[in-house]
Amino acid sequence: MDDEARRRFIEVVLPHLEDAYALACWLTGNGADAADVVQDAALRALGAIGNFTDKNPRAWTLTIVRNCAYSWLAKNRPKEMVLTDDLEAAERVGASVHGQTDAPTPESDVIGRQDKSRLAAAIGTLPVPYREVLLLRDVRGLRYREIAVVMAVPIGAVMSRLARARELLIAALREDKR
Amino acid sequence: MNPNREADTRRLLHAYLDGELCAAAALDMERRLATDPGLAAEYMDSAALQRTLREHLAPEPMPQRLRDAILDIGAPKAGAAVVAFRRSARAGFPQSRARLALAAAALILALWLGSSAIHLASGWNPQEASASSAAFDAAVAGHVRALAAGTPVDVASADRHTVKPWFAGKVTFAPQVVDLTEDGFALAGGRVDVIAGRIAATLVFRHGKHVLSLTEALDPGGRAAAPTHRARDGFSVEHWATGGIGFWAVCDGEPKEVDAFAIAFRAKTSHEAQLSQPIHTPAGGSSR
Repeated sequence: MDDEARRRFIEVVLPHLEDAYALACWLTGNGADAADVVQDAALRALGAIGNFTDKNPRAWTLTIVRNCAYSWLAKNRPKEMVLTDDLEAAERVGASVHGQTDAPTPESDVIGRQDKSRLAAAIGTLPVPYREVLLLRDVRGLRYREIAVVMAVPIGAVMSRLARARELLIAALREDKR
Repeated sequence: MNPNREADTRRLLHAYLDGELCAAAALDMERRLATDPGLAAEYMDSAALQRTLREHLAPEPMPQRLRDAILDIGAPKAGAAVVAFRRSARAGFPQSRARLALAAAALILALWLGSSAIHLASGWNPQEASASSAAFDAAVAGHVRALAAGTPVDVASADRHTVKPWFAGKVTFAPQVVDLTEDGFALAGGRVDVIAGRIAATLVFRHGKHVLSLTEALDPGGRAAAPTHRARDGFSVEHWATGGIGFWAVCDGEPKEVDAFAIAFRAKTSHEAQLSQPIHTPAGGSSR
């Protein structure tokens, strides 16, 4: 095995393992499957490390993890796969459909008083791309530009998905409380 | 406000919340929030959501076992990974660790085989560099490469009537495709491999926690060959040839499991050969 490749692999990938594991957990829904995805991704990263010239090792690593997770999902949970076309169509419709019918009252304290299991359950109702963008932004704190690279979409799509994801999650949490 | 402008405003609102706007745009958004209660409400809801997400979903740290396993991939001794595989196979480690060790060993093995390096630890005899040995190597290499990639099949189906036609146009013979679920080997799909410069058809079976690859390739010599066994770094391989086709069964399980598979496979295919008419079919045909 190439010493240089291994050294580079440790240098590039290791600092981002926590992010990788978190993303894999969110996409697969549990730690054991996430561990498999991360191991698979690590092997691929090692194999591809010779091609790594990016300035952003985190985005590069997470892109590989994401691809592995989606391969895993396609194989093990095909029903959860949402085609990008469907998503964009839903986003266009959603903007007009979503509750401007109700007078929006800030129920921030309701949202704030969620407990972990209810929150996790509500997140579970979101389609995978929305879960993903929430994880990357609100839990792992990636910048929009980085999220755009990891999710392989333009920044505008990141912004739309994030807005929509938050809107859907808020609605789901409110539904639950009623 | 028309829907497009509304959508843009909402996107900018969230970008403002995330600190992604430049100073001028942020200032503009602040002014709007001061005068638009609907927008302000959405802002406060989203901010509250963000706080809740951060509070409750502080990420669980990854298990130390996983971190160790990843570090092992970068381990300086390639031999160590192969030894780790053997140890874990015997000790029955948790599946994900065994699979990692397997995959790591597979990657290393594939690299060694790919560069025609000689693996002295397995007692490989350099003088035995005959075509049949190369075919063994290629069958094992295809198996480990597929496992290391995570997807051992190109066509995933337990239905032989899906898998068999898939090979049409890809291989120059009609491969034998049988389902041996009753014998404990469930068809999982197929892929294409290369054996001695020839495109080969590989069937993939699941046997408990193990994966078994059966590679079939045209043997131009047409010699029948009695079953022979080899072991390579924890893989058991059985080879035989009949009817002008060579078969290599590769599995990470016990040799007797590969043997059981081979016996069941030969029994089933000869039974079916008796049932159907013996037609020699060109590529793309089926035997019925």
